[in-house]
Parts: sequence; C-alpha cells; structure tokens
Amino acid sequence: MSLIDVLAIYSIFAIWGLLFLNIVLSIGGYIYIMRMYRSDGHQPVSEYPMVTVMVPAHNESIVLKKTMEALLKFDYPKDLYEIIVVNDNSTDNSAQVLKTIQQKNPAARIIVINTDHIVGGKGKSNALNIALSMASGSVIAIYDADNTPEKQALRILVENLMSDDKLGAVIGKFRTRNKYASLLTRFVNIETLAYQCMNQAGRYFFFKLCTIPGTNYVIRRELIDRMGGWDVNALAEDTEISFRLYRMGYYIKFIPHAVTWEQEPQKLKQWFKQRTRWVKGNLYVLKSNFKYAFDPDAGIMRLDVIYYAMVYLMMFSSLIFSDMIFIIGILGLGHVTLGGFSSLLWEMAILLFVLNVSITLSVERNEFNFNNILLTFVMLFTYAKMWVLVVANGIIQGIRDVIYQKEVVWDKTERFDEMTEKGK
Amino acid sequence: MNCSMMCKRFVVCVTGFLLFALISMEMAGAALAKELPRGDILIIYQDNADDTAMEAVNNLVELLTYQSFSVSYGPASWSIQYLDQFSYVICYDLDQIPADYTDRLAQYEARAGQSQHILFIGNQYFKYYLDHTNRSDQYELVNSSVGQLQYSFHGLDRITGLVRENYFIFFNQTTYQSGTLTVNSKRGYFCASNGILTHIPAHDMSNPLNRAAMIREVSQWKWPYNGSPHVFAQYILVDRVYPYEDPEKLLKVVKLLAGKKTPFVISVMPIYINGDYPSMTHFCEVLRYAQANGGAVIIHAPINQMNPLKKDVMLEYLTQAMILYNKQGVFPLALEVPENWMFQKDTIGIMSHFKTIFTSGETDSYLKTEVMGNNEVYRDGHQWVGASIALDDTGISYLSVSSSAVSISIQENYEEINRKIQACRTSFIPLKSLWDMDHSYWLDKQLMTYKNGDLILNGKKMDLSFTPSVYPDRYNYRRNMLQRFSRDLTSQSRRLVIAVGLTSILFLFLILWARYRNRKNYFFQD
Repeated sequence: MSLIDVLAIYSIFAIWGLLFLNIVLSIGGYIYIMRMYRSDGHQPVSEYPMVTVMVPAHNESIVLKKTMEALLKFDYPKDLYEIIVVNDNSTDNSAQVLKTIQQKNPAARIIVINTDHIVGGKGKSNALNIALSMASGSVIAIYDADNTPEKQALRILVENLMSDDKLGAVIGKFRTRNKYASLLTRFVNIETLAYQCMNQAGRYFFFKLCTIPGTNYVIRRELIDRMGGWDVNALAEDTEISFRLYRMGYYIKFIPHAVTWEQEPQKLKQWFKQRTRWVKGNLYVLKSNFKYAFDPDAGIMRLDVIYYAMVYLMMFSSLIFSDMIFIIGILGLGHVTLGGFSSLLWEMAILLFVLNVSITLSVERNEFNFNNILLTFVMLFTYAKMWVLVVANGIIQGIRDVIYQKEVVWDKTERFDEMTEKGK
Repeated sequence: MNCSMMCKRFVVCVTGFLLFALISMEMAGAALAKELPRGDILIIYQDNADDTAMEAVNNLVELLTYQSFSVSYGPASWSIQYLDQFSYVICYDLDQIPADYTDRLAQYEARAGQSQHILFIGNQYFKYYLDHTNRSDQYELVNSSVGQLQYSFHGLDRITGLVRENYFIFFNQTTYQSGTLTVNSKRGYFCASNGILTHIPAHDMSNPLNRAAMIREVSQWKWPYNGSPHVFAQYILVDRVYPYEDPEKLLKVVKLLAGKKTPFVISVMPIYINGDYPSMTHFCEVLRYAQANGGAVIIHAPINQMNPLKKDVMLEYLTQAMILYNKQGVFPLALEVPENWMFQKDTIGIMSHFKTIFTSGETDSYLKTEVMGNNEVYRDGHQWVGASIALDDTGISYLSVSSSAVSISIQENYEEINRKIQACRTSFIPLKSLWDMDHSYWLDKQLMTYKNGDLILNGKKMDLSFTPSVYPDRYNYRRNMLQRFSRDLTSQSRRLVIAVGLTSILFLFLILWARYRNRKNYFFQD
C-alpha cells in the first residue's frame, strides 16, 4: 500500500464522514426551521428588560447611516433600549455622521464613544469592552456596523432570552444584503445560508449547541461581567465567548425569525482578508479550548470543540490530499491502487453536496432557483477551493505570529457604498 | 535589405537544408547498415515513408518472422546498395524512387539466375519499372480505384472483399496466377508471376483479407519447391485471463474444451503479490485442472507502464509472477507479448528468455519501436504463434503458413465461446497442443525446460497431474489497519450507493415539502 493509497483512504473517510455529519445536521436544521416557521418567533414576557445595543465601528461612515436607521426602527419599547456606538479610532467622517444622527433623533438614546489610537483601534473585543463600561442594560445586543436588522429582530431575540434562565445568549440569522453585487457575494450568500444558518439550526436541534456569529445576538450582561468582558486576544471573539458560555453551564439558542442583513465583501481580496481573520481566530479558540475536548466536565461544549477540530484539521487536510492525488493522477506521477476506490465516490459526494445545499435554499424565500443550484455546483470547484487557500493562509499566518510573537491585529473589512438593493 | 542579399540568404538556407537532409539520410543509412545481416528477404519501401507505410512494413516483417524468415528492410535509397546480397526482394508500395534505383534493379534482374526473385507489391512503381525496361506491352492498366478480391485459402472456401488502389496493373502473360481481382469487369489476378518477377497489385495491409492472401502468396513465392509450404497449426487461446475473474466461468470453458479432448492454451495475466490468497488458490486450481486435461498455460507479459521501458524491472516482475504461479503448481510454457515488442531491443531481450512466444493483436502504447533494418528477433530462434487474421466473426485462422492463435475471451458469453470452439474444430487448419512441442525459459531464479513430456523446473521434474487445493477454514489475509479500511470500502461501496440514493430521495422530498410550505405561506408572512 503506497503513501497515495494511505492518503486516499484518509481523504475518503474524512470527506465522507464530514459529509454525512453535515447531512445529519441539515436534516435536523430543516426540521427545526420548519417547526420554528409555524410560529412568528415571539415569546410572551412579563416585563421587557433594558437592552444596550452595542455597535463597534471603525471607519464605517459609508454604512453607519443605514445601520443606525435600522437600529432606531426596532419595535422594541423605545425607552428600554439604548444604542452605544464605539467610533473606534476612525479616520473617516464617522464622528460627524453619528453626530448628525444623534441630532436628528433627539428622543432616541444614542451614545457615541469616540476613541483615539491610545484607547481604541485595538479590535472589536476592545471596542465592545469600552462600550460595556458605559452600558446600562441588563441585556446586551451586538450588531456590526454594516448590519441592517429587521425591526422585530431585537424583540424576538430578547423575548426568547427571557423565556429560559439557562439561556446565556440568543442568536438570530444573518443574510447577505449585497448578494447581487458580484459572483463572490452570491457564493457568500449560499455559504451563509447553508453553513451558518442551517448548520447552526441543526446543531441546536440535536445538541442545543450554537456558536455566536459576531452580530445579531443578545447576551445577558451579568454573564459578560462574570467573564471579565471580551477576550482582546481573540480575533474570533464570537466563537470564544460561545465556548465560555457553555463552560459556565448556559446554552445558546438560534432563532431564524430574527434576521439581520449585512454587507459581505464584494472583492476577493477583502473576502480573503476577512476569512483569514476568521480562520486565525477560530484556530486560536480551538487551540485555547482543545483541552476541553477530553474533559468530561466541559459537557456538550466538547462536541463543538471536536466539530471545529474536524472542520479545520480533517476537512482541510483531506481536501488538500484529495486535490494532490487528483493532480498527481493527472500528471501520471502516481495512482491510487485501492480496491473499491472509484470516481463514483467523488461523483456521489458532489451530488450530496449539491442536494445538501439545495435543502437549505429550499426553506428560504427566493433562494431556491436554478441559478443558485448551478452556483452551488460551481462553488464546489471554485469557492470551496478558495476556502482551502484561506485556511492554509490562516495557518501559515498563525504559525508566523507565534514564531515572531506578533501582536494580534484586527484587519478591518473594507465597506462598499451600495447603490441599489435587490432581492432584499 | 536588397534583392541580391535576400537571394544569397535564400541560397544559403536551401543549401544548409539540403546538406542537413543528406547528412541525416547518410546517418540513418549508416545506422541501419551497421546491423544489416545477409538474410532471406529484403523489403524495400518508400524513402520518407509515413507512419501508415511503416506500420504496413512492420506488419509484413512480423508475419514473415512467424514463418522463420530472416528479413531485412529499409528505404529505397539505402537498401539498393545491398540488393545483390539477397535472393528475394520485395518492393513494397514504391512511388517516388531515387534516380539510379530502377537501373540498379534492372541490372539485378538481368543478372539474376533461377534463385533470384523480385516481388512488386502495389502498382505505381511496377508500371514505372516495366515502362523503364521497355516492357510497356506486357501489362494492362485498368484505370479504376476499386477492385473485388476473391481468394481461396483451402480450395473450397472463397472469400470476397474490396481493395482500393489508385489504379491497377496486370501482367498480360503469366507463368503463375492465384486469386482473382476484378476491376471494371476486367478479371485480373491477386498474385501472378512472369519469370522472376511476381506482382501483387493490392498493397493495403490494414485489410485483413488482403493481408492474409498477401502473406500466403509471399510464403508460396518464398517456397523453393513444388507444391505448398508446410502446414502450421492453430491454437485455441483463452486470452488475458485475470486471477480475479470468475474461476467457475473459466472452469466451464475448460470443461467444454477438455470434454472433447480439444487442445487449448490459457494466457494468464501476471500477479506479483498475495499468490496464496484463497481466490488465487481457487483460480490456480482451475489452471491445474486445465493443465492435466490438455490445456497449456502461458503467461502474458506484465502491462508496460514505463516510459522508457526498463528491461530489468520487467524481467523482475515476470520472475515474481512465475514464482507465484509455480508455487501453485501452474507452469506457464510460453510468453505472450504485444505485437510491437518485436521491434525494440529491450523487449527483444525480454523475449529472448523464452523459447515460445505468442503475440497478441494488441500494441504496447508506451513502447517506442525502432526502425531496426532487420528482424533481429529472428536470431533468437523462437517458436512463434501469432494472432490469427480474422476473416469471419469466429476469428478462426485461414492461414496455415505459420502458427496462429484464435483468441477467446471468457468475458464473452458461453454460446459465443462454444460457437468459436466449434468453428476451430471444423476448420481446415489443424489444432495443436502446446504439450506436443518443446519449450523452455530462463529467468533470474527459474530455469524451465519441457521436453518429451517432462517438465523440469530448476532441475526438478514437476508433477502435472491434477490435485485439488486444500483451503484453510479461516484464511489470515495479514491485512494491516489501512488495508482493512480499504477492504471495508470495497465491500461497503454498494451500501454506500444505496445510502446515497435514499438520502437523495429524502432530500428531494424535503425540498418539495419546503417549497410547498413556502408557497402556501407566501402571501401571509412577510
């Protein structure tokens, strides 16, 4: 048995294992979402708590106006929520934009914190910690500066959080606002639906496990205080905080009715930078929490650690190996000699991948169409391959940062001025 | 740049090109000349012959090699200098020829005694030659490109086919004629002689009827006595049997042949590892049964995937395979090789280890054949069995000028196999058993001779009687963890397909259900 055979067996088992895991999660997610859509997502509460909506913003003047308009339109009781925008060492005219919004909405409780390069400019976690110090709410809601949440989103999230004391946080769904902007954003739209929403729903359905997506979520203030705020070393502060919540014995719920629309990178370079940051952040969290995978006291969180390990180690390596085997085969430098190894395995995997994504698209309005199914097929050979490059880049950068002891730097995602909005 | 400058450059370029061409031709000639032995037959073909022409020449050389002729071959400008060394000269499909070639050939003809013979295959050059030697009145030209060939191989059968040429030439007077070639209602011959000149108008070697008839006529032309050459037998060859194929199906075919005492040969594919696996033991048990009941086993050469081919590696593989088969009591007597193995030094070297060689109709695509100038493989004195030239759907041989094998695949259905075997049994060409001939081979660790019914391997006489295999109740496959995974993968493939099918159906159902629900709620929810 040659090395190629060994790698082929590993790739087959890893890819098919993860494929079946995703299929199971999709079926669970499908059942959960369809069940949830029978109601409007609201829960009765005796009293609405005070909520602080925190928006970290660094050079976000292009999108801030739209975001603030959406935040001000929440159907949550107006006197029971405040908006804290951390204008984090911005060099654009964000301060001016925010000031104008404040002036135009005197009735709204808008607090703007302008930081300089000494206090601010150190990433999202740091900005959130600054906002937390000024927050008066017992529930904290987080929105990224490029988000336009639907008006009922906050109320649904808070109602659900208040309905169960064991809930540490409630997360909503996020959609791609600029999905028609480029081929890349179309891919991102499909990926978001399939691998963020459906996956979250599936994990919640089976294990009551969710990962905070960084935006459109509410969390209990007391828990944040007990944690000592956000970890400023974490680039993926959302994943990091999710793990900490589970370790504290709380769980996180996914509510598909609470929707926010966000702007995704339109250009490959920005996308690559953003995703590299995510990978580095998730690898940091994985590294910090991997010990819990074998700790029985860590409870259900162990599954999430194992899941992340599978995605970032098994999936990544198996895709690399399978591509290598394919190229080696094409060049005639070597062949797989295993019995039972045939192209049918790959063809069936492709079929299942497309069907798996299609099931996600089918539960969304205006997403299940021929174009998206065709794009799903294409993204397997393009977008998915780019994911491999992103992970490789993230790993290399992570190793380099450790070797050279580089400080964690927040690579800001560049925003685009949106002229038109279609399909929203 | 002025005109005279351009003219100068043009002249320099043309002169350079001509010099290069001349040197190349001289070098090629020198390379060929070094190896040219004085043989039985000289085949002269067109200078700058294309691949199709070379393939036809190689095919002709191959078929003559089976008849144990020593053949030299080369382009006209090179071979003309060696003309006098040969008694039999074939001018194959010549068209454009060097200026002095015709005079040289005419001198050869004029000097020729009873032992010199010239065979023209094709029409263009034959016409030119007759015109040049003032014999324009001795032929008739039929200006048509299609002719109907009728040829009888054994007196009773008459096989018909079409042949194509630019035009056809026929001798007016002949001393020998065979076959008929009807062109535009003119009834000519397929082959005819007049003095020392013999002519075959149709040259196309890719046409099986033409090829078979031509090779029979060449054999007759080369036969120095009255009557016909010796009759060679044909062999039923169960070809390219892989160890993983169904042994029961093979046993059924073996029983069909052995039941009526029909001699046959099984060509097994080589195997290099796991020779003691139960499936291999079972396969070899069938082979031993065949060996004991009139069947002989030969081994197919390892499939070449090396570019360039490494002779030592190939021999090592062959040795491994032989050892595995020998351990199971199976004794291959000969080697089966692709037909183009005759035209490469390394493969000739591999073949030299075996006395008996079968050639299959396949070609080794990795092998770069060489223009050798002579059939060097002839020197090794092999006993050749070539693939039969199939003239009907049974594939039986119509040629008795050399030994041939009628190939049967166990992939074919049983009725088809039975029909072919019946056709062989009733054929004019006798069937022969490999056990009636002597065989030998030597490899790194193996020396086998078969003579007078005794098979001696490494100095020990081998028992050829059939003994059933003993199978252990539980065989230990010695698989490591990864190999077990691989095996599981093989056995699970079918289940995987079913699982994927069911999952796909479930997904499609869920998609349809979600679409139905979405449509139903479309107007009621934002």
